[in-house]
Amino acid sequence: MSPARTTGSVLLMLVALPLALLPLGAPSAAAAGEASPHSAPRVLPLTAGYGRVTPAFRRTIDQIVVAGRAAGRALSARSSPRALVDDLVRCATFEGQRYCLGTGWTDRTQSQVRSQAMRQLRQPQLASAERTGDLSAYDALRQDARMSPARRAAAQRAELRQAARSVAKVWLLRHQIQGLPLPQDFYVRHPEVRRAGLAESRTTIGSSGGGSSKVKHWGDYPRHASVLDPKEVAQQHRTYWCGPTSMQMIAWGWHHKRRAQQHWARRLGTTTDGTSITSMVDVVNRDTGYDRASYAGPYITLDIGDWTFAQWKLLIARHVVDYRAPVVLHPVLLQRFYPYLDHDGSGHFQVGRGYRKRPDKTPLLGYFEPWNQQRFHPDEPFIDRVQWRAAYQSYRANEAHFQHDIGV
Amino acid sequence: MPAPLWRWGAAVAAAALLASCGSGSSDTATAGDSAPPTTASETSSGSTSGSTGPASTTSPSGAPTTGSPSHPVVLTPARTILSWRPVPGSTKDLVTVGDRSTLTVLPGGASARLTGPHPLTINAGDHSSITDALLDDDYALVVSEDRFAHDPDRATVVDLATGHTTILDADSEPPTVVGGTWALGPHTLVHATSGSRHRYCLATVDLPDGSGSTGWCAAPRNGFRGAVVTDAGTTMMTFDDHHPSCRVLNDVDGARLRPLAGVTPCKGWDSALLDGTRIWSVVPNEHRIDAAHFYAQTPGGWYDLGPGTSGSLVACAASAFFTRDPQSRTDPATLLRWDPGAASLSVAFATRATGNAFLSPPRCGGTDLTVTAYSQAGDEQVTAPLG
Repeated sequence: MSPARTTGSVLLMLVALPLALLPLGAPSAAAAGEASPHSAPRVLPLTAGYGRVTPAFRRTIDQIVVAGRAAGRALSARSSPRALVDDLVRCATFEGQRYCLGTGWTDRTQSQVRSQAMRQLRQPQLASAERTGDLSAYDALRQDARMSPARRAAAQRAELRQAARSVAKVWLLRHQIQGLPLPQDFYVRHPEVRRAGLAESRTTIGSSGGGSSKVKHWGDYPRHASVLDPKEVAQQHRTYWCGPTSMQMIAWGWHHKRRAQQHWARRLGTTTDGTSITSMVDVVNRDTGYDRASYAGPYITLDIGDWTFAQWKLLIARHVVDYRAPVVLHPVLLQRFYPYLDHDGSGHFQVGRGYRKRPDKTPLLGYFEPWNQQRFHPDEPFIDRVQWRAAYQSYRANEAHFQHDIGV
Repeated sequence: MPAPLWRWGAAVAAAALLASCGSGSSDTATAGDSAPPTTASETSSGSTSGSTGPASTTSPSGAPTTGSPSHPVVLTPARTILSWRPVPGSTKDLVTVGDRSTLTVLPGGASARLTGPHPLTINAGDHSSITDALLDDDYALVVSEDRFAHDPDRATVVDLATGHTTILDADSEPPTVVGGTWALGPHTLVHATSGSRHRYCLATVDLPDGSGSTGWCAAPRNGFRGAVVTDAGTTMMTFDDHHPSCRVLNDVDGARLRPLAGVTPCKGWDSALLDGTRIWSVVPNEHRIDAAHFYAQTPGGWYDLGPGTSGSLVACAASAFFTRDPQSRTDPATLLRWDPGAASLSVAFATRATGNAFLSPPRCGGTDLTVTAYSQAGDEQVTAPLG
């Protein structure tokens, strides 16, 4: 079975309509429902593959890494929160898009990202709720501080290189969903943006190489779409393994072969403190094919703190229908958002894999939930791995996470 | 022109989808959206409308009853909005307002602040957070849980009249355990405890004299949650280790449990006893665990209270309350009130926004109710006296 299995109306549409009636860009079942995960789909979605690290990008990366290495010589896990933040929270700007180490792509300034991190570190109580495996801000910085300067520099360089190679996708998402105009010479500088995708989104390229596009809106998407096989799910085996288990299900969906959670914990660098979202995104890129240009393109960690719900749900639809790939959801497990839980929990990972529009109702989000509370608490009944719930509540849970970001 | 064709195609596909939707697959999202079969509607004043009203039956006492477990009377809520006022401060604070005291849990659960005649701040211990903060007219109960699940819960009981505090922990009799249900009722609280041979049991503490006892104990690999203590008695959910769990709602009578009659087998979630009546919810679709359906039974009949949110049922001041997500794009999220004496259902609160809105589980402060609303029109935390 395909990992990118779009169900419901997409499939029915193929049965009910001659293909000739479909508009350009319609996600046909052949493209979105039945294609082999390893063969090129007939209709390509609009995204970008990996770009190259230009000399300008290389200079930016060098500056960030060298400056961080100089500032961080005296760092240790016992350094003050201020020192951790000032020395480790660093941002680079690639073609006008800002990437912050450990945080991802954001519209916030480096100063704002640091202030947010300090607020988190000053409120240790925020880390005291039940932990399911999402790395707290404090633990993430302490992990980095424990590294030798050379190893930390290498890790930062690798993270920044990956970011630099993904900048075209960031521009495209911000253009298509947030309405940000593309730079004039965007397509000239980014041949990794697939041309078939341009046709699909009815984008026209100006003589200068800039583009204006008619992008897809929520109403353009089918009523229901999902990816991943609902039988290829697992519950986390340790309280702090929501990351490895989510990764297990994502990779299972791609390879149709289950690998142990222990394997994914090692790949992700998971500790008893948990897993970072940047690790999740990195391993999706390295260990599955969902990062191919014919799927989602390179996964990125994207700050959605200033996104509206309409933009957020459009991102989910684009990912599921056009990218045919799962989303790394990053909510905070507060009871106010998940009232069936007995207690508040920490930040968390889930696998976003579908949506369902409902007549005259707000849409549902489909996701795999790795956390089976029954496994760890005798006071909680079993919760099924396959869940659907009001998308707005999941959006609010994502937005309420201190990092308010998502892996797409 | 592709756009009209697209719309036509979508319409055909939508029609085909509607015709093909079912709720029996392993990946369905639809079952929780639909109400179970109903036979009639009734206004909140109790008058039945519709042409196919349920057959009346006879209760064991000989009195006629309305509806039946399989055909409960559908109640349509009247709009009886309470006198809500905003709660000062951040909506991230978890506030429970009472008659003379207010209990506030700060974000992250590091501490709880009790204001009133005997103000007090209760801090969670190291590596702990406050998981339960309950208030009624006489007592406040604040529970701190070790997030490493190493040390048993530590609960602080505050006598609101005197300010006297009592600690319940691993050294109490019966001892606390890590996590588990906590419920505060009239001069009583219940919590999970460890019984003989390490069994998982329910403890009851008489608050005026501080004495505790161990009652019912779960079978191995079984558990319980969601205890609710009212004047009318104690209820809770028990469940087994199957996937999904068989969830049973029970009336707790000392060391014995009596399953509530009329509840769909293995599907129960919330429950409470009120003045000779019962209210409960079931979760019909395991893939929509937060979508419940609520019911009630009185000596006079069986009632279908409609959809609601699992885990949101609260008994407060002789009524029961639960939350309901918007049922359409033009509906607000609502707080429903079940009045057992009148067998009526009413909307006690509605969000300003429609569509994308929801409510936190309400919090009872004895004579007052507090709820937090989340919506695109802005969040708000409000409280109202129940009179």
